[in-house]
Formats: sequence, C-alpha cells, structure tokens
Amino acid sequence: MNELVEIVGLTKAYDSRNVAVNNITLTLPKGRIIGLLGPNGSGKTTLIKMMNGLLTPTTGSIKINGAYVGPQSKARVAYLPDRTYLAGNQKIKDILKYFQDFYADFSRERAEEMLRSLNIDPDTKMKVLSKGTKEKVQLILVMSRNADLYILDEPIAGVDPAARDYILRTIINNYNPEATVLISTHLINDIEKVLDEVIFMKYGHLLLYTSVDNIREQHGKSVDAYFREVFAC
Amino acid sequence: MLGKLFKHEWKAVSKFGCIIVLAQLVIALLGNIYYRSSVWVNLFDEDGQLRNMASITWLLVGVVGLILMILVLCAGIYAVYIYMGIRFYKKMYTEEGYLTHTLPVTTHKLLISKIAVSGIWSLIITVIMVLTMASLVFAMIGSILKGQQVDQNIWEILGETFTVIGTVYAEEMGVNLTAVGIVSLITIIVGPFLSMSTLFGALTIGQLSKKHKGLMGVLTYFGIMLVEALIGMIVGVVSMSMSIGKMLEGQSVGMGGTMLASYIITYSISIGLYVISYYIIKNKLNLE
Repeated sequence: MNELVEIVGLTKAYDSRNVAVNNITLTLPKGRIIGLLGPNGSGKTTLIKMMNGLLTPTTGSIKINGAYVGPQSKARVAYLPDRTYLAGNQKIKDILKYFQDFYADFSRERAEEMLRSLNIDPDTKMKVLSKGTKEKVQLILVMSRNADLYILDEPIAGVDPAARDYILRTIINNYNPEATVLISTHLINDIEKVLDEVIFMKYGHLLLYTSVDNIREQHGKSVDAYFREVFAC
Repeated sequence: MLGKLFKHEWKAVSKFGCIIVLAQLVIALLGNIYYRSSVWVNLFDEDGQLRNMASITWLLVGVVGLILMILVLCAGIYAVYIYMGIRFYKKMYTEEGYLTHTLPVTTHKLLISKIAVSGIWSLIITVIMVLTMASLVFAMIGSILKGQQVDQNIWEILGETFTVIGTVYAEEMGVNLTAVGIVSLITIIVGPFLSMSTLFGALTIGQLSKKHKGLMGVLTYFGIMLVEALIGMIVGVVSMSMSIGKMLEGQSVGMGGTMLASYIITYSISIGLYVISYYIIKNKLNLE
C-alpha cells in the first residue's frame, strides 16, 4: 500500500457563501515532495489545517497512514504552520525538551546540530529572536522529526533569499526519504527544483494534481510558467 | 502522555504560583509580627476599656489593616483564576494552540492536565489564604485576650462557639454540623478543580462565536455564574417557603437538603461544562 494520505469529499464552509475548501478528493503517495500551489485565498492553509486537526471539516474525511486525524496521525505528522506558534517566554532548549517528550520520532541531537550550524544558542528565549530566526527554529524542530508526513505551510514566505536557500537545503537534507513532504507556497520559482509533484488549488477546488515532469512534457513549460498561465488574472 | 502534559503544565505555571504563595507568606509573617506585638496585649485596661486615644487609633489601624490584608489575600485567588484563564485561552485558542492541538494526545488528557494543574495551584493558594486569614485573626484576638487575662485561650472559645452553632443548626435547621463540615471540606478540595472546569468550559464555548471569541468566553463565564446563582436562589426560596410551615409548628426545618441541592447544582454545572468543552474541542475546533 503506497497511499499515505486519503482525502475524501472534503469541504470546509464557514457559511453558505464562504466555502474555503470545496469537495476535494485526493490521495497522496509515500516518498514524494509535493507542492501545494495556489494564489492567496485558494484554500491551501485551510486544507493543511484540517489535515492537522486544527479545523473541523464541514463534510468529508481525512486519513493519514490509515488513521483518521487524531493522536495517532499527529504522532506521525510534522507540521510547520505559517506563523510563529511557540511561546515567547520559552527558551529554545525547553522547547527541544518539549518536542522530545511528546514526539517519539524527534531527534534532539539532530536539532542541536542544526542550531549549532546556524549559531543559535539553545539558551535563548524565543522572544529575543528575529522573525527569520524564529522561522528557522520552527523549521529545525519540524525537520528533526523522523515523520511519515511533513506539512510545511509557506516555509519560505517572508524570509530573505539566503534564508530561503537554507530552508530548502534543510528540508531536502533532513526529511525521511520514505516520507512525503507537502509544501504550500506561492513562491513557486524558489521550490520548483525540489518538487516531484504539484497540486493546484483555486477557490477551494482541486484544479490539478500531477507530476512536475508531466507538466514539463505536456505543456513544455516550467511549473512556475504554467502556474502563471493557469492563474492569470 | 498525561504525565508529560502535567509535568510541562506544572513547570510553566509554577513560577506564577510560587510568587502568589510567597506574597501570602510575607503577609502572614508581617501580620503575625504586627498583631502579636505587645501593643495589642496592652490595648485594653483591666476593665476592658481602651486605654487612651492612641489605643483607639491603634485598634482602628489594626482593623483596617486586617481588612486590607484579607482583601489582598482574596485578590490572590482572583489573580490565579485570571492567570489560569488567560493561559488556557492562549494555549488552546491562539497561535500557541497550533502546537497544543498538534500534540499526539487525546482531548481528555489535554483538558484533564490543565484542570488538574490549575486546580492544584488554586487549592494550594486557597488553603494558604484561609490559614493566613485565620492566623491573623487569631493573632489579633489572642493578643487582646492575653492582655485581658482571660483564662480561656482562643481555641477553647472557638470550641464553645462551634458547639452552640452546631446545636442551633441541628435543632432549628435539621443540619448535622459534622456532616456540613465534611461536605465543606470536600468542597474546598474539589471546588478549585470544578471552578477551573467551569472557567475553561466557558472560554471554550466562547470559541463558537464568529467574532470576539475571548470576550464571548468571559461573558459566557459571567452568564454561567449568574445562572448558577439564580438557580441556587430559587432552590433557597422554595426551600425556605416549604420550611415556614414547619417553623411555625416548632419542627426542625431541614435545611440539609437545600445545602445538598446547591452542591449538586454546582457540581453538575462544572461536570456538564467539562463534557461541553470536550465535545467542542473534539468536534468543533476552528483555530483561525
């Protein structure tokens, strides 16, 4: 069985006029790096939050590794949200301990090694770090897990190009090759080279799910160019 | 996992709890030094009259000081509730909730760990508050009794007072004071946990609102408090009206049932709110 994520008839409607995700059915395999692409407001973050149990679907279901979203799936999903979610008064070393206690697949050694490579002192409190460094710390926490599914929501948004390169390198060098990485972004050009497959979303609908090679062969374009064509205003 | 949740929750709130406890102990120490001073022993003369104007001033300052200290001690309890409420809200329903709700733990464990830790701190601070208040009052009255050369100490006087109250309760109201004491003790122990369950339940209900979720949670809490008080009042009025006939006939009025009913109401509301919290987090969670 190669399926890792099974999404069936998934809808999230805040009210009758505001449907963020509309009847999506999708199966994601193991061992792929998949780009979740779409303009702002296309439903990417809503879909991701439902996969992590932070939003309750209106209808439909999500299974990860055969389990509905819950403690069992959360133990195998490493999630990087699109915002800072760590308390400012916590020291990095306390957060490492927290992750070590709750996630059996968390490698403290790997996290400390990555922190050292960036000259980040584990004794530092989160609130004194810059926005970019906070994002790097969060990424380090996520990528230090040996998860089945990594869900990264806008990991390179709002950081400088050098930091983007570091983040992408960290993702590529640290993810479990058996696992799937789902990266949501609209900065396609930066991540195109690492993607195996792409999902296009528009107004809450699933527009396309195909391989990067397929786009290049069928349309003779890069994913970025094809995205611009599909989502042209 | 429950143990780990408890450990991290305890570690996170213990700094705040220790500050409150320390403040209580400082008040207890300073208050006891003050009320056990020789001035209090010599406040009254042999006839039980205040000696002079300085004694009157001293007594007034002492009583006002006692009231202020009791108010500060009570404020400590409110501070605990406010702190725990804000912390629960932040950890569960703001950005920090992204970490809380992606932990591989069940909703029951999340709720129980938070109620347990905040309940234990609330219990510790309540007990220290009661003991501090009692020590201050005892120190003040004890010093005065000592100056009056009264043979009895304060414990003997208290014993006699409770015996009289117990007799009145038993004969006039049909309430066994020992039973009331046991139920009250249980309530003091269980009460902080139930109160936290109610507070967290109200804040969770507030999440169902589309806007101003925090404010709606606070308003829900005060709404629940109001409803609880109203139900208690209705039960009391009904009970009293039923008792009037008995009182006129010179029978015991049986207030034990009323007290039991008010405890059941409080317990039911708190347990009900725990169930509601669980349902909302499990089935209606919508972190923005």
